[in-house]
Formats: sequence, structure tokens, C-alpha cells
Amino acid sequence: MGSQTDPDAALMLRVKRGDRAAFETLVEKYKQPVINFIARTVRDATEAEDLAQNVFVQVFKSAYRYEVSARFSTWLFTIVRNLCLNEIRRRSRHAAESLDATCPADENRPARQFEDTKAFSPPDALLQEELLQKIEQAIAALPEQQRTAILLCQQEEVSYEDIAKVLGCSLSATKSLIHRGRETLKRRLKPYLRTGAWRRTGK
Amino acid sequence: MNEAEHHQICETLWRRRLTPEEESRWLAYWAVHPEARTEAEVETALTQFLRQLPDVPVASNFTASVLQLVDLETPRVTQARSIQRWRRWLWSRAWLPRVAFALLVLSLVSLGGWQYRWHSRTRFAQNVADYSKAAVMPVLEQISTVEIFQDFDAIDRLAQTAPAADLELLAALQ
Repeated sequence: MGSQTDPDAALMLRVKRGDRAAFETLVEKYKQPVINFIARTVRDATEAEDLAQNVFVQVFKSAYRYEVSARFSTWLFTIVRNLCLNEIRRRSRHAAESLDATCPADENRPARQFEDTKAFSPPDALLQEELLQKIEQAIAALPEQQRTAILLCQQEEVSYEDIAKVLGCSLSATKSLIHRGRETLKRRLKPYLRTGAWRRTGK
Repeated sequence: MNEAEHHQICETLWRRRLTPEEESRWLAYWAVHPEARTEAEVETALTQFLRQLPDVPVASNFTASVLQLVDLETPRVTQARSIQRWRRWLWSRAWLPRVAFALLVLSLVSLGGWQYRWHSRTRFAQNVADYSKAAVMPVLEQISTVEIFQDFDAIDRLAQTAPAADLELLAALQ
């Protein structure tokens, strides 16, 4: 894997030489996918931002020993996954608050709110919100490896081989994890999959 | 298209939209296997769900916050870089530490050997001197210690074989 085929690896090599502008470019490019991944793994949007900052600080601190042995995104998401696992282990040892914390005003809605950027009619908006909640809950309920595989599958720049490297398993095992995860999601989201709700314009 | 190819198309759908050619092949397969259509639609629906997940909001000053944290870490990172650069230079000259270690060991061994020889000769010379003094005394009771006979055999052989003059020994006696 050379830096010629991976522009992000080339940027990271510049960071290794002390180029802050290159580092800023990488942060801008990957902050959204990193936060999305972390938020859906630890189920806390506020904590996700802090963890994402730690990820990029870790990237900067590790820059001096960075070697181009894989795509930059593979290396980055390996760091992301490890930090998420550490956070989950820390929470299991020191459970301070419930991961299913609900909004005090309405117990049926989660504390975390998504910004509603689309103009839907009221019934569609309710259905859309319910659907998104269900998807989020279904993803969060998956075993860690299946969830990681499915979330990384949504990243266009991360190939199946890269996902396998992040998970530390073979390509066939990775596809099996994705397949099993999707089967579980299909079972849990069955009512919604058949309503055609997914056909409405969303993202 | 067979079943394996059908699954392959489903896997492709996990990552990206199908090309027109792939779609037409898929439709042709459904025409022959209508039961596969339901499975394909569910797969498509799930992929759409996952693609429609909204982005988690990111603070507008996220990058600036990261750069601030990085500024705090920079002195430590610079130090770590210097240490690593020095280590790399040192180990790129892999023969250097080995030769230095070998020289050190050789020096210590040589020093130890020289010290042992010097100590032995001094002790031997002292014994010869003491024995010489004892030899001119007719009364054995004047000999205060048995230790001067420690090297008696060696001294006796010296007298018999008449070796070449040991200048160092003579110097030690003086």
C-alpha cells in the first residue's frame, strides 16, 4: 500500500513531518464519520464528541511512528474502535448512568435528539423519527463485531479488506459478520421494511 | 444468473447502488425466481435505512478544539520524536553498539588480568623478601609467621634452576 494510491496516507506522512495544515485537513474530512461511528457505538452523542477529539489527538501523537502499511482510514478506524472498546469497558466497570437515559420531559424518547433538517408533514415526521429510533436501537443492540462491521460498511472509503483489518479477522469472516448483522436488523425492522417508509426522501 | 451471483449482487448492494447492467441482470433473475424478489427488496430497504441514518451533529469549533489539544501535546510529541530519531540513528549503525560492548568486555578482562598478575607478583616478591630475612636468622623461633613459607617450593626451585634475572622482581625487592 503506497501513499500514491491513498491521498490520506500522503497527508498523514506530511503530518509525520510536522505539517499542521495536513492534520487539519484530515480532521475536517474524518470528523463526521468518526463521530457517527462513536455515537452509534457508545450511544451518547456528547461523549462521542469528546472521544472523537481524543481519537484525533491520538492520531497526532502517533504520527511520528506512522508507516504506510494500510489505508489511512483503516488505521484511523482501528484507533476509533479501540477507544470505543476502552470506553465501553470503563463504563461497565464504573456504571455512572444508564445507557438508555431518556429525556426527562418524555420517557418514550431518548435523551439524544437528531437535528431534523427535512421538512416532512406531521405524520411522515413522526414515522421518520420512529423509524430512525428503531434503526438506532437495532444497531446498538447488535454484538460489537457485527455492529462495527455494519457501521464501517457505510463508509465508502473503507473496503471489505480494510474492515477485516480493523476487526482483526479474515475477509470471509467479515462478510459473515455483516451478513449476520443484517439478518438480525432485518428481523428487528421487519414491520418497517415492508411499509415502504424507506422510500421517503431522507439523507 | 445463478443463486451465488444473486447473493453477490446483494453484497454489492451493501456498499453501493447497482449499475444499470447489474440491475437488468437482477430483474432477469427475479423473472425466473419471483421468491428472490422479496428478499432483494428487503435487502434494498435495509440498505436504504442504513444510508438514511442522519449524521450526528458536530460542534462548529470541533477542529479548533482538536488543534488546541494538539498544541498542548506538541512539546511531548517533539521530545518523543527526538528520542525515536536518536534511537533510529543508533540502531541503523547496528555494528556500533556491538563493537562498543565487545571493547568494553575486552577492556574489563584485560584490566582484571593485569591486576591479577600485578597482585600475584607483588605478593610473591614480598614472600621472597620475608624468606630471605628469615634465612639469615639461625633461630627458627624468630620466624613470626608460617605464611612466609607459602611460596617455599617456588623459591626453592628458583634457587635450583638458576633462571634469568627477573628485573621486575628485583625492582619489587628494592
